[in-house]
Amino acid sequence: MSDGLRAEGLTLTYGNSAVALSNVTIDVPAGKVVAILGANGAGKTSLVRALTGQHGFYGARIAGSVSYAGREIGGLDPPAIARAGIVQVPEGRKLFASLSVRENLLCGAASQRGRSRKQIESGIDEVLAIFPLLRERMRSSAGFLSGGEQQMVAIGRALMARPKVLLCDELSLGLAPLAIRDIYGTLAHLNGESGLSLVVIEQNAHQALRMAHYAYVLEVGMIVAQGPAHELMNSDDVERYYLGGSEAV
Amino acid sequence: MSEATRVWMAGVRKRTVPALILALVAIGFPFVVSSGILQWTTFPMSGLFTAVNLALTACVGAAAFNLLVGYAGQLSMAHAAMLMVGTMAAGWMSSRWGLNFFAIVPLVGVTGAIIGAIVALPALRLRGMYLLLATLAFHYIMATIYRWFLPTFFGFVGIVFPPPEIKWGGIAIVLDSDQSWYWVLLVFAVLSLWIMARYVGTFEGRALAAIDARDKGAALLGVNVARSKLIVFTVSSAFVAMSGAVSGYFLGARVEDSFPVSVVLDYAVMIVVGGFSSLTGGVIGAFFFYVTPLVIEWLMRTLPGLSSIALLKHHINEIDLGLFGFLIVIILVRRPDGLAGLLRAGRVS
Amino acid sequence: MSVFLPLLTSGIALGSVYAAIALGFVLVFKSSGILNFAQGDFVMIAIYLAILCFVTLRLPAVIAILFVFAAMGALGLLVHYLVAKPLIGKPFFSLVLATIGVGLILHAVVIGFFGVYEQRPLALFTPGVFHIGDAAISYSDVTIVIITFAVVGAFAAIFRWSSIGLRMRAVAENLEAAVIVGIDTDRVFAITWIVGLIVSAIGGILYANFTSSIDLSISDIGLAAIPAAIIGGMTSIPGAVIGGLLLGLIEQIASGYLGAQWRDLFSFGSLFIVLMIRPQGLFGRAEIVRV
Repeated sequence: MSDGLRAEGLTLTYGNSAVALSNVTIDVPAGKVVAILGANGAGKTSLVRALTGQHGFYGARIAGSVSYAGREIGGLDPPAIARAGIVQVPEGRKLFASLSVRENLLCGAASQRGRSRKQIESGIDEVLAIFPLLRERMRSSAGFLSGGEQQMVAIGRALMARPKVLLCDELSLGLAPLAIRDIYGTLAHLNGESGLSLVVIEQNAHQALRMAHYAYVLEVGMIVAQGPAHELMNSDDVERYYLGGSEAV
Repeated sequence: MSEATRVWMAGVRKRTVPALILALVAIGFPFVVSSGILQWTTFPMSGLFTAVNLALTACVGAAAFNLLVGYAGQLSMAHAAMLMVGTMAAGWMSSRWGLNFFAIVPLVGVTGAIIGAIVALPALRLRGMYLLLATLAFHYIMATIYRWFLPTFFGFVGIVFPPPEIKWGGIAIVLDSDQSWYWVLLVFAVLSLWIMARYVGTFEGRALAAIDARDKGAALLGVNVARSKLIVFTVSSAFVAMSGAVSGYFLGARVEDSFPVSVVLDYAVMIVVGGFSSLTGGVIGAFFFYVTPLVIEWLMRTLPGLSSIALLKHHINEIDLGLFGFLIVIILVRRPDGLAGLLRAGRVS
Repeated sequence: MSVFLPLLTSGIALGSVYAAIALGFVLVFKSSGILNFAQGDFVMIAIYLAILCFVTLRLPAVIAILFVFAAMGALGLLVHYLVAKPLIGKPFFSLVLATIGVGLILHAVVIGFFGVYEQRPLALFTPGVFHIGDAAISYSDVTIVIITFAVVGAFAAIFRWSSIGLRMRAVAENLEAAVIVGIDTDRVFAITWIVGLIVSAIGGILYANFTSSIDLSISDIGLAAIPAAIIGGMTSIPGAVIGGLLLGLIEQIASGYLGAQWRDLFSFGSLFIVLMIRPQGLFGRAEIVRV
């Protein structure tokens, strides 16, 4: 019995016919970092949507099972899955541009029930401890921040939901190399310190593989390769599955 | 015979048989009504005749409306405004220039086209909702003009249209009854619908679908988006204006109150119930709109129990409207293709 | 001055009414993207219910108000669950037509229950006028302005500072992000309808004091919300308020000097001009308006 997030035989279909995921099985053991690699359109974001229960919003249906710590969560609605501890940092950040940084963070706790004012404030303090740069920007509109700062807000917003598994979808998109290193360094630190499981989804294979324990490669909705991260990093197959996947960061 | 021939014949049968039946009904209808065969049903046949005539004038307008909204995706509420344009133009030409009905209708079409083009020009760059609101504004502006125009040029009586006369050889027919109007209106409707159908079938027409789907994408495909939009506004406005003029003549008179904004809603009902995305939908919707109140009234008279509900009797108009509103909501939620969609589904299976 | 000042105050009063109605309208639009063409009919129902409670049944003022609010709230819930929710994701024109359908139903209901006859306007406020110099200004106008500002102010406070207000703003800003973050968007939509209708109802009840006659055509006032909202900017809630005030002022002052039959021309002419020159209105964002 898996003690972490597990998807088994997951299939996702948009509308009536567009199959985005085919029989995908993935294990994210507690406290580990798992990388999901694949080119554009391979189905990575669809996987995130299925795991967080948000496929319905995009007009998709899923078949197969999604479970966490042995408990089936596949049929729950997104707020319930967030409460179970599965939270995503979406591709493209998707912040509330006209709301302030502080308000964005507050929204991150929206799915949580029964949390007192104090608990939420201390949650914000924790996020600020991780991303001290945001302290000065708390009142600014999120839309005016730099790319790196926005990414911090997006992650912070997700952290407000006290996740047990954090799904990070294409964090490096649009970021300068230095910012990418910082962000991933922070995440690796979080994983080491608090045992937060990470699912790192990237086209940028090397960065993801460097911090992961285990990795899967998605192609046209199917898993075509998997294994311990260091094995895949040295594998020719992985190079072959990518166009330009060998960029070192 | 070969497989291909069999398939072709099946296709012909599918298309022409319903068309033949429709033609038979259309031609036989006035004779059935005047012969009194169906009198035993106590259905108000003369009322039906008027309703059918009204539906014939309206279906051209509804189909033109559908052309704009359903085919080209241009959300427009300028419909009633164009009816007013048609009415004013017809009234002017009739009383000031002394033209006869058959000359006026095409001229009104031209007028409608010109005005439609003028209005379309600034509105071309507006998208979706904003275009909708601009056309709504156009309605109110035109309504104000109309309310000034009528008393200024026609006094308090409004526009009175003299019954048209057909002088052919030695015969003179005056169009002053449902019977005599029916044939003229039938020809008008069939001709207009045919022209619109041809327009849809041409490249221009197919360009409309592209515009509806994606303005930018259509531009990439080589469709001159601005020009096509202009053309569809022009064509649609022409037919709506003509339909306004024709119904003005049919009804005999138009007054200040003839075109409240609810007229736009009436046509909205027609294209929703009939079905958005086809000219047939406009036709079905128009007939539905005018015939249903008669059916309801008849049902209320004949079905025991219903006739005793006084509330229904006093407020039949509003019940009709409420029913239409209800239908709109149900159709949009459940079956957006409307009645035309049902027909198509039936034919396919 | 004796002509202008009363026109000014009545213009602000009318503008306040428009502001409240436009506010409810823009709220629903911003949150769910629905252009509520039945706005006028909702306001009409609120007015008729108010007449029922205050005049016919002579209920105490507090009970009457609560009843009307409760009724409008229930109506908002119904509209959300029966009409708006099933149509999520359908094309824009379908939503517009659905609201038109709802409006027709409401219209029929009002006629069925209240008949077609003219009603006397409400007179809930202190009658009479006071004088500033030569000008006679009615207490009623001033009361309307004060009440509207209080209501709009309360609404703005809730919107900006409360937890539900934050959710409403988040949903209005970016629906996808709101879903991702785990906000119960369904509940937010329902609450938005309720609040939007109640605010508009308040505007309507105030209008019932302002106008000189009440009959079925009073639903036209709902359509006045549209130019107000556009002038202010359909994506801006403060814009709706300011747009409403401006519109009321323009209408009253222009009608006062030029005659009431040109009213529609002014409001919709302004709408047309704004759409041609600056479609996003005074405060809206310029993105997706033009092709």
